[in-house]
Amino acid sequence: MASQFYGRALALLTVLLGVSLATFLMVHAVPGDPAFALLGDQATAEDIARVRRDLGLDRPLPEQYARYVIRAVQGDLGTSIRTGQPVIQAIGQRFSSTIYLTLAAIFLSTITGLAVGIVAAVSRNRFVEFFISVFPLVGLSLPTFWSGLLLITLFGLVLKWVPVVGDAGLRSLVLPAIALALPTSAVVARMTRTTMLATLGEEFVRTARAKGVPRHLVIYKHALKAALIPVVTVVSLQFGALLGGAIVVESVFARPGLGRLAVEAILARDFPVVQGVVLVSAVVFVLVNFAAEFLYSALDPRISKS
Amino acid sequence: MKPKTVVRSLLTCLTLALFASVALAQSVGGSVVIAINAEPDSLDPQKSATAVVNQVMRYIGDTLVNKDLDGNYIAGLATSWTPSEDDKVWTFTLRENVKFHNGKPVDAEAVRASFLRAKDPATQSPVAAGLLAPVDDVVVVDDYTVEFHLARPYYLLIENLTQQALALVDAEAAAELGAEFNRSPVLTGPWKVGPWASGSRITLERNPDYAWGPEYAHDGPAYLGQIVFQIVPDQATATAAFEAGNVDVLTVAPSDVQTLESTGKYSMLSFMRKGLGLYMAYNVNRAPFDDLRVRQALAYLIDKDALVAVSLRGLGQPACGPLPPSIAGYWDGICSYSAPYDPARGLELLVEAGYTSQNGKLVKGGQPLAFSILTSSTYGWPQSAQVVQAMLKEFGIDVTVELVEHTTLLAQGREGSHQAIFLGYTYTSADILNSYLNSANIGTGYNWAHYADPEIDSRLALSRSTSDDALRQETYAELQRMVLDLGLWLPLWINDNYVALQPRVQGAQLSKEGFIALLDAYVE
Repeated sequence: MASQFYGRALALLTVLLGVSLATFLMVHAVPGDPAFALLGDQATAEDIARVRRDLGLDRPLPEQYARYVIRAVQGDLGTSIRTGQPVIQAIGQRFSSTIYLTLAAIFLSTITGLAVGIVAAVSRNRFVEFFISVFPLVGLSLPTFWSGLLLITLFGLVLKWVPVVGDAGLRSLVLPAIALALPTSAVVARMTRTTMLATLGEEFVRTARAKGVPRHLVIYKHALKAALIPVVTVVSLQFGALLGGAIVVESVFARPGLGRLAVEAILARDFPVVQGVVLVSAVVFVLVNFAAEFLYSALDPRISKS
Repeated sequence: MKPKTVVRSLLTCLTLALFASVALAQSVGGSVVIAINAEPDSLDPQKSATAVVNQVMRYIGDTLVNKDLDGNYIAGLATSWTPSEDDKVWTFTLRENVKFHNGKPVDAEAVRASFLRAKDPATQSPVAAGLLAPVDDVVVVDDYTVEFHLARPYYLLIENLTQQALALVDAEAAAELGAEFNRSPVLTGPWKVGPWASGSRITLERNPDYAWGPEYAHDGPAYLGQIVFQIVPDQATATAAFEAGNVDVLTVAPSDVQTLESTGKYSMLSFMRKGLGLYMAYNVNRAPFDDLRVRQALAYLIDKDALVAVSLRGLGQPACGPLPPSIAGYWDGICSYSAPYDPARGLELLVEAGYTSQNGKLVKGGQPLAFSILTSSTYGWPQSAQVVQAMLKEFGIDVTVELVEHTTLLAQGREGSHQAIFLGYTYTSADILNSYLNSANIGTGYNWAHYADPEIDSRLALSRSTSDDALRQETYAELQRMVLDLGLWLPLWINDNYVALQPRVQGAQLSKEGFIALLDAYVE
């Protein structure tokens, strides 16, 4: 167990180094100067030169990266070029909002995805089958910025169930979570249906049926548990997609989250914030995948033995 | 006192009395929610660099010199100002009984400390330091008199002192609070910064001690208890939030103006942009625009009226020169001076430049007349690029539209890798010409045409130093003509900006500069 843990930690470190280097190279390869982005169209040439000097952007790139890594190891991700705020603090203020949104979306998409997938696998009703086969298609095809606006128009503007902007606690989490969950639930539904169909055809299920176990017990106790492993993989991988999807959803729903922080930072060429957000997201993503692996062994004891 | 002044003061008294009686009727409290599309970087006026801060700063800070709703200079925290004989020393008399948000009185020492902080390199002020560049020192004469000592005569000083970046800060509090001052600055305005929920909203709270407002508003503190700035990056969401009643004040996207107006439910205010919404700058170092005749010819080939009708839905007007009528210094002869839509004349110029028509294409030495326009997705720009492309295609000119993200656009324009580039600006004074035309700004700043001309440089210097207003106006007029004569820019359009208010918000006024004055505002 301990060696497994150290192995994981080492993997995490490697991922982080790789991610930080890639992000660093990318943000510096993109044309555009933070000083220019910061000062906008009201600045003079003298202002630009002064700000560049103040930000230390005139130093060589390897030196900038080395400084960054050394400080990051000490827990200092630098300060935002745009706001002068420590990056850690800026991320801290936005982190919980994105995590709540992502968790809510995971919850919603897993529940609906599983339900739709199971029904799709066992249903003999043609109408239900049709609806179920269309759902993943629609869910995957609707871009979230559009489905988000549809939800806002319907529930915020016409029905007025939730405020369009502003914080109303849990209520203001509902619409963005639905918008974000839609594509993922489609993926989960499709995966669940496929694995359920495969599992239902297996011998142990036939055996269970033959010995007279009621149909719902066969489905939920025998087949579902075995079918769940690939679904866990999909859900944990989708976590990354959801973190990415939050970028769009947070902008549409005016939520203060990591995704929006990243967009603002990219547009302003606020390098330290971009790097910070990517690093933190990478950490979260890697941790979620570790968690998924532990979940496999809970679902199927054979996995941890191997 | 001149008779005129007496009448004016009497009128002021009457107005004040009127306002005072209205004030009694107004209930104090309530809040107004204003949607903004980005989060301010910092509310320390000396640290901020983003335009969105200007929308907030007027409510929380005061400047030495203020502007009335028509844009004329009026008393701010200074009641009067006079230049010395040689224009190098300006003396300001300060208003008495002004207090910072922390209760500390504002005297000459505090004013000096605020301006010296802005100038101090350690402050790293992106905008404020530049506005004060010619100021050598601020000297305290007595408790309520300060002198600004200038390195050279600088007529923009008064204009600069009206800028939000030079709102007065409590320099002592800034030193004590450090980075915290960015989010809870100590200023003097009618509201103070309250809770700031990152990425979500900033709440301003009424300053009950406020008694030094501008002359166009009632005396005493504001009525509104709170002003909430709700950060909504997505324009469609902001509009939906406004229609749902979650937002009271909305800067309306041009595409939504008609929809909101047609409901008849909201008050819509509009003002002409202080700047050009769109112009095309030519890079004079790159073919085909290294030929003056080509640059001039295009001006005759583009029907700006049609362009405004299509790409702006008519919510604006064609631009004739580099300055709009909304900026002082605009030469009102520019529209009759600029090239009219006259394809015949345009094609004549291209023939003079050596182009001939072959199979419907303009060709010179085997090379077709073709160029690319670099544009970002700023509202109306991609559409305008397509319209320009279609208009020029009729004359056998091939235009490619290259769409990039805005910061990339600026970087490429600065390097000079473009042939033609779409840009716009918003600014307070005609001094913007210096940024765009000064040869010192080639490659480092905003000289997008990459055109160096000592004659232009010397006129720019003159416009900045002379104390002779008539001469300055004439210099600006000359510069505006030169931009057209030299074909540096093709000015395209000036858009109107729209603001929508919920009917529950009463007494709000819109200045010609687009500032929504809320001192007299109240909610029902």
